[in-house]
Amino acid sequence: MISLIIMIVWLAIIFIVGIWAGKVAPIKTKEDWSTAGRSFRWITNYLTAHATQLSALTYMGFPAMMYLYGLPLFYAHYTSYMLGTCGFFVLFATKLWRLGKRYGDMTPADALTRYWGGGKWFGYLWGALQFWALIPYIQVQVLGAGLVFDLASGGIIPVWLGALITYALITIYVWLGGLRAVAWTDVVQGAVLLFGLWIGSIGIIQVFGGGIPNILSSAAAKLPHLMTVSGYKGWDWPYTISWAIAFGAGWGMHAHMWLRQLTPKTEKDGRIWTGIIFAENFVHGMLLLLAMLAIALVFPDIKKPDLAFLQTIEKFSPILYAILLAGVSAAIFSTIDSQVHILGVIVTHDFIERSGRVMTDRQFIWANRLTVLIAMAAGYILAMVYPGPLGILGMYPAAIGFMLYPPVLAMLTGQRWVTKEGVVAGLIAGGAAAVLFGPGPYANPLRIHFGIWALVANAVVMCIVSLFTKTKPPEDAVRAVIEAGW
Amino acid sequence: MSLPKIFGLYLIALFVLTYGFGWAFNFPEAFWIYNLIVTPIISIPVAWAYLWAIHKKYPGEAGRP
Repeated sequence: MISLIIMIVWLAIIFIVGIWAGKVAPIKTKEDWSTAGRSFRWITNYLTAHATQLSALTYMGFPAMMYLYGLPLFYAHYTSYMLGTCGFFVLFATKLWRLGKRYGDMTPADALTRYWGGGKWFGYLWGALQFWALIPYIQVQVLGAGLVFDLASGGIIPVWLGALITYALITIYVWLGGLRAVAWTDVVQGAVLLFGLWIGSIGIIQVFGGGIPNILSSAAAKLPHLMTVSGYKGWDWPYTISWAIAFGAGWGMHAHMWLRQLTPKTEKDGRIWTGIIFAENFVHGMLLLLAMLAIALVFPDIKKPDLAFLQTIEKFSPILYAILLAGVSAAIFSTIDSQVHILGVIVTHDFIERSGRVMTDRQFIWANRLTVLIAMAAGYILAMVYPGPLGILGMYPAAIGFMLYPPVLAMLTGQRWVTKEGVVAGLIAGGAAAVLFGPGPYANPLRIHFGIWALVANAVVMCIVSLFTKTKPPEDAVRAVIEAGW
Repeated sequence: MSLPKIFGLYLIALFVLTYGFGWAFNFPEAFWIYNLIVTPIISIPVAWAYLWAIHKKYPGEAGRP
């Protein structure tokens, strides 16, 4: 019962913060809604970026995989996330910020379409790819939120009702406050979810593991298959490395994470948040790994590994367990609200405005609100009606994000030889490879993750078609990228 | 060679080294020493040093379109 009370209090706080953000600075312009006026200091930008990135996977999915597969999972996800996604932020966030400020960019399609000389269908393609990457993500998170309510209430609030409460709360505060409400709720949520990860992990390391040296020596002696890449349960070298690269680097290409590179107030703010996320993600991953090794040593037969981290904490501190459940809901809320917000921007900006329809600020904001309502409803209905395939669809977000790298890097490094036809052909080839080699009968050929196949197909086709086609980027667009500096 | 190019190549090299080391020395102690200690100790300060250096090189208006 204490879990339920803390959860209700927590949700009330989030709801009040979201409403407050919309009241103190009412949404009046497109910029207000989409980028919060590019006004975030580094701490706000860091917390909204990291809270958005961390999701149900952080508390349930990845700890479960660490419990089952050990160090290879850490190695695969956290090391490569730091060097891949966070490395991308460190390298390119300020360039994107400068371009965004100059041209009023809101989505990836803005920068990429401008670079290759405009064209509404080119913009639609980028918008559609973002939908493909994000809708399964929302479905999974809505379902995850329902499960957390069910867990916190001991079954009193069933999954469907928990997911419905999530749907209602997020829709209301995003409706009222746009990105500012999303970011301010993310700040509160980011603080709680990082607190939960750090304190929960340290608690398990000390209480059940007897300290870090003891965990490492005991795990090396008793659970060597968790401390090496042994091929255990299919995690051999080719799969571990290819999964690592696709999963670690793919998240930065999603539109809601792209937007976080556009929202800092100054260049200095833009640089500092990237340095913090580069470091912190690795540290909490390390703590989480040590905690999961301790759990694997003490409780080797947990039936539901997804709940192993949370339920182990319940064994030594019911209060901390209740706070952690709030942390899980924070991770889920902060991911969903950012995703439905950016989907609204993509629909109104990348599709409606790009089609030539001129919208007033008021029309833009209302079209966004309606899209938020519909996207959340779609996520809820799909999560309830088709819960089975979600796990399969959930494989796509990082892989599709990873597949987008070749044209994005070509644009950001000012490549003149890559043509628009090459980019379109590459994206189609990469998408086809993702479908063909994704979950299904031809999944992951040669034990190499399908995200790698999708990226290779995209890059190869993009390069070959570019050699034989002519629509190169206009010189002024290339110059703007180069002059934007680093 | 420009600073961003050096940092980008450094990240790729660290990727290759991390996986190469892991593959070559696939036993528990080597694995956790490299993944839990060596990689972060090298990469996190280097990332911050890069951010500091690049901010000095392209401060404020310089480089801004």
